[in-house]
Amino acid sequence: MEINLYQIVGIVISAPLLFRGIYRFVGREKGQTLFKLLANLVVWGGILAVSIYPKIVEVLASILGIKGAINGIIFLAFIILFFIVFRLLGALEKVERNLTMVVRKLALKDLKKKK
Amino acid sequence: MKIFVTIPAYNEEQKVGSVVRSIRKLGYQNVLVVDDGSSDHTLREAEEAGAVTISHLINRGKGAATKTALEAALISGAEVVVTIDGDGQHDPSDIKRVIQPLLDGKVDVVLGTRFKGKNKVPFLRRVYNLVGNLFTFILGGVFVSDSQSGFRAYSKKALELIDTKTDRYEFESEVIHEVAGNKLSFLEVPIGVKYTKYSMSKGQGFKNGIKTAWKLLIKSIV
Repeated sequence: MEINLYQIVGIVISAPLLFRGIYRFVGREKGQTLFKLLANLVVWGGILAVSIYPKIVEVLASILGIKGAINGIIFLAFIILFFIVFRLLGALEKVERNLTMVVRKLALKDLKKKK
Repeated sequence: MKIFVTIPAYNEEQKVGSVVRSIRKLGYQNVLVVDDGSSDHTLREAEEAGAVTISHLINRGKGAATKTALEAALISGAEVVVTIDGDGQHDPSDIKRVIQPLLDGKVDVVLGTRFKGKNKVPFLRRVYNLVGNLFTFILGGVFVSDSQSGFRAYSKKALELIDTKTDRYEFESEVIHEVAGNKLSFLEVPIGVKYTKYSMSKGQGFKNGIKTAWKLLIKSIV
């Protein structure tokens, strides 16, 4: 069986993220909902499935009119971009949260001074 | 019981003073306003009306300001905390009805709802709210009639358990998720609402609604 680079990249990225999502849900971590689990299954599970069984995309590729090796390149680019966007959104969320925490601490410090 | 009424306010110089005065007239002396980095005289107006005030250095959103208000009330020894909007759309005389189930020890959280009374709510607001309710249900598994209401009351126990992360309008939905996640009891109580040109220019518009839905989705996946 021939394994392409995009399949390895897809598996390496999606498998841990999918595992993390399931682990958090099963472990009943705070804030984990069925929707989050489903979103994880659809997004990361989808990428993992396509990486393991690339033939799944053949139907989609034929609908879109894309044929041959270009499939793999497009899919690889999609995975990488998706991953980067996710990481950036996560980082941005964290920065925003930290900023709010600092602003809140300063405001509450002010309250304690007033007392 | 020590009751605190808190108001998150952003650029509300026109209304916040009268809202604070109305609340104090009703006998609630612990009124706390969080000025969320306003560029107008919201802070001064609130202080002159007799509220205890604290400020965010920069604007962080209604959710962030509400959370700061709730924490400040807890630090100040509150046993029951009410949140009410600073744009004058809520009727302070409803506070009594909203806090009563908490004073009776019946529930941990009371959610004021605009949709169980005889309010004339503009059609678009009803649509935004319905979408908000559906999102809140899909993401958190709890259906309430007014997931975007800012008029709520919390017991001390609830405030010690609720831990929100979102800063903007998605906060209101997150609180409901937290209530469910922490197995807190809640009740929806009808409240009055006044829609004026001023209050309509504030709060959840179409653009904000889309942003809120997007943020709730992103928060679910990231």
